[in-house]
Amino acid sequence: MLHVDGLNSSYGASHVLFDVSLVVAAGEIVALLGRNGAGKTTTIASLVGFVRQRSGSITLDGRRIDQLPSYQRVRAGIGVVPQSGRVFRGLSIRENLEIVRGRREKVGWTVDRVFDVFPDLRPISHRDAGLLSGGQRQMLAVGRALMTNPSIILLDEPSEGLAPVVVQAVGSLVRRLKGEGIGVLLAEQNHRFALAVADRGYLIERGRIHYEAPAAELLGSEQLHRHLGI
Amino acid sequence: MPGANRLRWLGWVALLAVAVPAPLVLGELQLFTASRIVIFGLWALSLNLLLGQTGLVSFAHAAFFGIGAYAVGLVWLHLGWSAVIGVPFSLAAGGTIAFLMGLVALRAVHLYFSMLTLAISQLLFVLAFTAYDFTLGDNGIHGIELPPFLADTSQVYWFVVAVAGFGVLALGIVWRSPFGAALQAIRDNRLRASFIGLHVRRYELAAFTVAGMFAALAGSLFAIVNRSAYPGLLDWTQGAVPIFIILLGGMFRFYGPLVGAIAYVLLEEVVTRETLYSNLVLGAIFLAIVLIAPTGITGIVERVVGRLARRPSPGLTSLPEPLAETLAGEFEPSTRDVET
Repeated sequence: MLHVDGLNSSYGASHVLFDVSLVVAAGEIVALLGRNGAGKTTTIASLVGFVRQRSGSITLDGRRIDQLPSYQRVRAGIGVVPQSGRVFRGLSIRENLEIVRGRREKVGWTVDRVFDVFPDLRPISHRDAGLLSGGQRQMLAVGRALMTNPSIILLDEPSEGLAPVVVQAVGSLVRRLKGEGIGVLLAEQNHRFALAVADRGYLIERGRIHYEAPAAELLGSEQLHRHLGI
Repeated sequence: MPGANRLRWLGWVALLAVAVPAPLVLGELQLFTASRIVIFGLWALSLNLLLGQTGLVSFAHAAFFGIGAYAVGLVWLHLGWSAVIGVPFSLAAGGTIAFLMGLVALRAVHLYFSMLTLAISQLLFVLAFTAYDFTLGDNGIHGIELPPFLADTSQVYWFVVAVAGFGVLALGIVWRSPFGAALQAIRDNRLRASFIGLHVRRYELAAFTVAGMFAALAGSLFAIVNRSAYPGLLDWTQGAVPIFIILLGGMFRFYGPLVGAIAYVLLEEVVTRETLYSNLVLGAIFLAIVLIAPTGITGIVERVVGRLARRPSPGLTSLPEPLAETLAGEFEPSTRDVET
């Protein structure tokens, strides 16, 4: 369970996140919706310790992690899938998975288990990750995050730049993570996609969370209209 | 590509088939040249663990070569032991000093890291230059005596090939291991590497230590062949040699620096024999490589072979992402998520 309370962050001198508070429970899919530049990616970057945090707390499974360096946050159980599924080019698919150093679990994720989830990757496991299609890259990026044995996965715009049919596949992938008992924070601009899979959603604008509601309620609500301008 | 794998094995076998029986056909002077190729090859391979695989630019690699040479010289001079003991000892000496230097230098990144390696390696140079009681200062240690089993040039050459062969094998195992893959991930993007739980600085320190060990091993062989160790070996400008070799051969293949070493030593001999201003010619070649063929000889060959086989070789036709890809690529927050 991820618990963020009163988070304030800044890039250099500019204050970019204001009192952001949110919760992601185990096995829950939470959408973080906002316009381009609203603070979605910054929120994720703050959670993994990339943006300087001024105040507030981040707690994962009861443990404060906001003072830890990025790699230790990952080892504490935060998995990250960066924007447009950036993988390590020049390494094979298998190597991309093998080099992960995540949380130590008794029954953890293995390369084989990841291939069970993404059978398409198994026959091409020796292929250079730089040669993958957008959808395959996204699968590998999620597989890589799974290899860290996360309790929460942060997905940054997973639908961006993907064909509609691939976006569907990403949707079922996210539900799959939920089925594994993993909490998902889904930062998305594509609210239609996000709210179709999410349990709950937050609306973020100008670095502040403005509204929070169950996904079904958010869809077509006046707040969604106001904050996303749709 | 299994075909490429078979070719690679054939290449290694051919290299051994040429290198091992060389003393049977080569004269003494040519054998000396062959030893230089082997030693410089190992030296450049060890540096490429940092440059090509981890993306670290170190200016201290001459220092480790020199430390290896002094390991041989000092063991012989002060302890009265066989100079050969200095060869395995150089691994320990190079590794220890690299570890300590890395602890300090890796506190910084990119250019600042490079500058720290330069500063510390010059400190070592001055130490070797001035500590007359210990290193014989700027005179250097000369006339190192070799044990009877290294009495003639052929035996020295075979010794060099055997030790360097062990070094190449060890570096090859590192290159292909998951640890090597993790180093490559760090080169691609330090930030992204930390997002999969890699403790980037610890990996870099390990790479720096291993590179220092094998650079020192190469230096120890240099001292065996030349029977001397002197401060000039540690001078940072000497560090340009392995960098030149790596760029000449190509930094994105394990065997690139070996190809580069063959080309460099032969080229250097021809150029210094035929021209007055050898560095001018070598400099021009260096410039041409950087501008025209940044993937070096192996890159050019693979491209030609790939074209003949009507199969593109995507790994080498282009450079990997810029070594210093910043957060702009990862999160793009500076343009997208900043308050306006």
